[in-house]
Amino acid sequence: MNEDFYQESVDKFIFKVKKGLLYGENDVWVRTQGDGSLIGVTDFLQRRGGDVVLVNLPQKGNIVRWGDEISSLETIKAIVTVTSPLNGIIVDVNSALNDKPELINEDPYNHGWLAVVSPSNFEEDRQHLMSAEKYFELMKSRIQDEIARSGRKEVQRSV
Amino acid sequence: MKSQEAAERRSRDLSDIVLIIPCSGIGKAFGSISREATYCVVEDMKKGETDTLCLSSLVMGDEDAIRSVKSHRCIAVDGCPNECSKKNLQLLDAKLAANYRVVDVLRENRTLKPNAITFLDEDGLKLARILAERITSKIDELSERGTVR
Amino acid sequence: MNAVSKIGVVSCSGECCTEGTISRIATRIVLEKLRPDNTVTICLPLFSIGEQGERMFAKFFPTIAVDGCDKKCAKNAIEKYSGKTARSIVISDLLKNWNIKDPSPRRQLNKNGLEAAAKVAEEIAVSMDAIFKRGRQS
Repeated sequence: MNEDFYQESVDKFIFKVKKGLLYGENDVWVRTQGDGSLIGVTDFLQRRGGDVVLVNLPQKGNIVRWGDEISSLETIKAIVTVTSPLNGIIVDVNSALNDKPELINEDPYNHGWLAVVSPSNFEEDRQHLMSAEKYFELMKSRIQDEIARSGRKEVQRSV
Repeated sequence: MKSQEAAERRSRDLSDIVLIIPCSGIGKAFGSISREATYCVVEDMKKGETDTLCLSSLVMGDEDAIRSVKSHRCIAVDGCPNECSKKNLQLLDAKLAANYRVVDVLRENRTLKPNAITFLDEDGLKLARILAERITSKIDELSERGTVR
Repeated sequence: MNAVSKIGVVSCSGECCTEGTISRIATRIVLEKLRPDNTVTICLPLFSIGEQGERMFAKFFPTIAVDGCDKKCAKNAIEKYSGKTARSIVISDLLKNWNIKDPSPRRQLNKNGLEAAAKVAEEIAVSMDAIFKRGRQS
């Protein structure tokens, strides 16, 4: 039992959900701090996406709405969209990700944070967010769906 | 002058060989690219001046391999930020002259989208070549400096 | 009943020799084509530096080590950090038994090399089936 995380093991992968945060259904987390809320992507999203090669960070001062795309992560597999879990203004961004995008993979809940949002009405946004326990259950069901959907991959060259 | 240079080349001992150690990670295209980049350097671009050896044998304590990385300059070629080759070479106190990551080269060449892992596709091969050219330039730089760490 | 559903296949992926390349490709064939639902590849470099997921999987699930030569780096690494392997395959031995000659070069296998990789992949798959069967019977 891990004090800080809920964990789900699938094969050799350990998916972690950090306790004490709030979560949006699009695999983003929120940590309230003072006047702003720190946001980032979950371990589940970064594992599915793969190694992050480039992060397109939002601009400071931008007004964001819940559900808008605020960032994207370029990985070797795809471009992963990150949607805002809050309505508000971007007041800070994690510029360390420009040089070290791998922080999102290595430490998604801490050094891999994306931005700070000053929410316009947090109590209203709160309705779209869920507890870590609920997100953990959602994540587990998504993992099961993906396992059920995964098909066979072909070797590129015939042998 | 030419014959003097030729004599110097002949008498140059094996300590000038640079060892290129890829991570060869099996789960991602990055690992396959690190491997192919190593072969590009060792078999094409710097044939005779470089060699490779198995990271796994190093990690498992093969004495000859460990002796080699302590007595020759090494270049770690990692696929991803886990940096398995670099970390293992550091742990062994090897003569680490430089390290490269495929992911960094990919970031600078975003039009390339390597997909295949088992047999590299065209973009994977291109990336391997770009990385190999970088490694080759580094080897030239090391030779000019005459640095042996 | 101890049903086994997943097996970790650990390849040495040695760069020095053709057998290392064969081990790598054979393991990928098993993952992509022969037993895609039951295979988990363990990345040996990651495993060696202590990656928790790789080590825990190898501790709790059966593993097959696929080594190029008799140094047996994959087998030794698994046994050092996680536990006994369920099967150890050494490609240089198999090639000798099958009388397969000159599968080189290491960088891009020739026809002999690709056929060798396919045969080794089958050998791995058959070993996996034997482990599954033993798991169902216990």
